[in-house]
Amino acid sequence: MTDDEAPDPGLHFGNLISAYTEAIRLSDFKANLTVLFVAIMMGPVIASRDKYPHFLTLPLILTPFFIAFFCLLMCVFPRFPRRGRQNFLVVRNPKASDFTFSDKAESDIDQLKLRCAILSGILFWKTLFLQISFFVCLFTVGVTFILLSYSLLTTIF
Amino acid sequence: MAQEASAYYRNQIAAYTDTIRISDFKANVAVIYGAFTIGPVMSFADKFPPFLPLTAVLLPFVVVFFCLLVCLYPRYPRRGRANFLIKPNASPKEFRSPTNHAVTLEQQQLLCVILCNILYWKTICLRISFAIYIMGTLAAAALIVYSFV
Repeated sequence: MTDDEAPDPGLHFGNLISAYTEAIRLSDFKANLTVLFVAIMMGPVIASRDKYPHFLTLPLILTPFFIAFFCLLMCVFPRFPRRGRQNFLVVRNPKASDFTFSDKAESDIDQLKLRCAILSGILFWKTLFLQISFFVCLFTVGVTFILLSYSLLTTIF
Repeated sequence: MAQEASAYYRNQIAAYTDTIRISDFKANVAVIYGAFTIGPVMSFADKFPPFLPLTAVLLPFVVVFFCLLVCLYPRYPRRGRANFLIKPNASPKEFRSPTNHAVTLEQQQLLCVILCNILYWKTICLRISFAIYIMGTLAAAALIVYSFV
């Protein structure tokens, strides 16, 4: 094999699909555990609401939690886009004839490309929702750090 | 030669992705551990020694959560987007197979660079948070021993 030879497109798109599915799986795993983290943190945060400064009302404290929950649940929401249904049936009563084998290599490559496009779309929305929820969590943690530091400094001095 | 180089980069990429996956798993478990620990710590706030206010105890937790969330933040750098499209309505036509092996090797090399950078930041954040956890655990153990003496 030399540098000028074109690599096997089937192998290339197969690898790309593996990379997409791996990234999607990792996003789902992160979202699942982050929703658990946010749910666990909600208890102590609400329980100690009487210790907060007067301007931090309960609805204000709960807002980031709800935004994070919404985004994380949207991230783990199962999606099977319509344009991929032809090759990946999700129906109530499938028949054996719904699953047909095609021996055309060209159509195989087109299918692989379509699957790449579908997985790219799924990963886009998952990443967007995950980034929003992580941003909300990071922002809230940053604000908490500032408030705790201020409280600690006023206690010491 | 091209095949050997490709195999080398493929192994490097596999090693990086595996290490990144393990780092993410550790960060996920550590963030859940922190969330579980913070509740009992807050409920025992009235039993802390007078020189240790609750805010001082909570600050390390907040730093750890920040580092762990930065570690877990999903990243797909722009320079790698040409080979790994992330678009809401991507067309199958946008996915093209490399024209020759030199291009494949270039793509693999770029992926190694990107993964190396991602792993670097993940490791930094993970090390900071684990160091804080370890120091916090030792401090808690020392305080418990002190209270018994």
